[in-house]
Amino acid sequence: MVDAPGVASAYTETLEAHGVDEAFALAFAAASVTDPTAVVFFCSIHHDGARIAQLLRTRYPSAAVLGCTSAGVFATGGQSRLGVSAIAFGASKVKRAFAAVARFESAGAVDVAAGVRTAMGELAHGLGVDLRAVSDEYVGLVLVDGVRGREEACNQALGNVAPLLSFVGGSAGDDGRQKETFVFANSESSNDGAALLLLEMNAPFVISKTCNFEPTGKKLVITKADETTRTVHELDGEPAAVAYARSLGIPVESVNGRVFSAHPVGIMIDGVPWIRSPGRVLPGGSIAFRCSIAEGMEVDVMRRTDFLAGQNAALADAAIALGQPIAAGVVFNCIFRRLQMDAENLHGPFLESLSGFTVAGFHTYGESWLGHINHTFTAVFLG
Amino acid sequence: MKTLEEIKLEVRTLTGDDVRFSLVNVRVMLRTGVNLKAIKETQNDDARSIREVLSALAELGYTLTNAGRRSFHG
Repeated sequence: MVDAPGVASAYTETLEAHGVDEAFALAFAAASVTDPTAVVFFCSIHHDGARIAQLLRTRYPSAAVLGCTSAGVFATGGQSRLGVSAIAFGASKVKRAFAAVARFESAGAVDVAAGVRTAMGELAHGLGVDLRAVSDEYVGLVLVDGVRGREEACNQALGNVAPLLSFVGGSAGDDGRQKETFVFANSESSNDGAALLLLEMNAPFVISKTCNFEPTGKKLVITKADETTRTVHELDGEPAAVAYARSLGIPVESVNGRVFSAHPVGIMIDGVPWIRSPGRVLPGGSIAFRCSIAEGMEVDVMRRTDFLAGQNAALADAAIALGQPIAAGVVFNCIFRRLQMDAENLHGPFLESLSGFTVAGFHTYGESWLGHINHTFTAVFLG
Repeated sequence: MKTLEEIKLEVRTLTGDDVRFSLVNVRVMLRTGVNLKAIKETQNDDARSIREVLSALAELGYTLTNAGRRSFHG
């Protein structure tokens, strides 16, 4: 794959920050992207991501820099759990960009909405735009802490500030440890916040969200839930695990992580599932989810489809929507999909599917677009 | 606003086009479980559903009153 004009990706397994910076610079220069307007990178929890961000910011002082730790990365040219991937956009793709960190805790108190409002104010001021009235040339990227369960509040706050502006992204990872994640924007970092990047595009773009699931036809209603802890206590008036097991025709004792992974639930909107992944059965039969679901909502029990079919269809749809071949993409791929890739040796086909364009992405602890979602392949594609 | 269908029409007008309406609709659906593009008969005049949708829209900056007047908090 030859990098498209105005965009370049990079991948390295170098651990030391200076080495990462130099590897990125070489890759970007090889694609003639020497003065990018935005650089987005994804690293492992073992990298000094803050230092990488600082070095990139120093090397490219006019670029907005965004990054986070991950559960694995991929880009044109490579993929691994412990590498670093990046994508740089020149002015022909991204006219202007501005990055900021939203801090969810201040003076010992958690206030996600306040942190997001402050950061969004910085973005609006930085680009001189009214976020409630931005034109279709703008799109945002959001990288949010992945272990404190604040993605729903973050996405709601983004929507409340700018309901017509899409922020697309994912939850930072820490290679499966589930202890601490980091996000980076320019020279700032946070282990309890979100890194935001607002892009004024010079190229057409489209947002894509897909998964490898379809409805089984079995529906369940959330009759008792605690959204703050992402816990569903009852489905159809019964202990959640009992009703869930019955919907699949299996004994409740058989419900485990493997079943959950193969049969998440989805909120259906216009025929498209917005996946909520069950995580584990709690004492008493409640189910802890990876994403909140409100009482009264109806969900469909899902079943797997071919892993790559949905992804390839999404790529084809994106090209149609762009009216031209995809030139570049930033991809957010759920760790649950990565675990299936691990189990079924799908890493090669996964990256091959993305080989027609310049790409960088990471395996997430959840995806973001209009809300927090699970188990998806979510992306921004550029023409 | 006495029905979700009335709310839908107001929101569609406020947002200006189908693409933008869809963005707001997904946000409302993920918060309330009500899909304004596919309102169920049982929901249309359900007081709780209407209250929750109006609350979600207000959070998003769209204030719709019972008299049908509307404002957009820019």
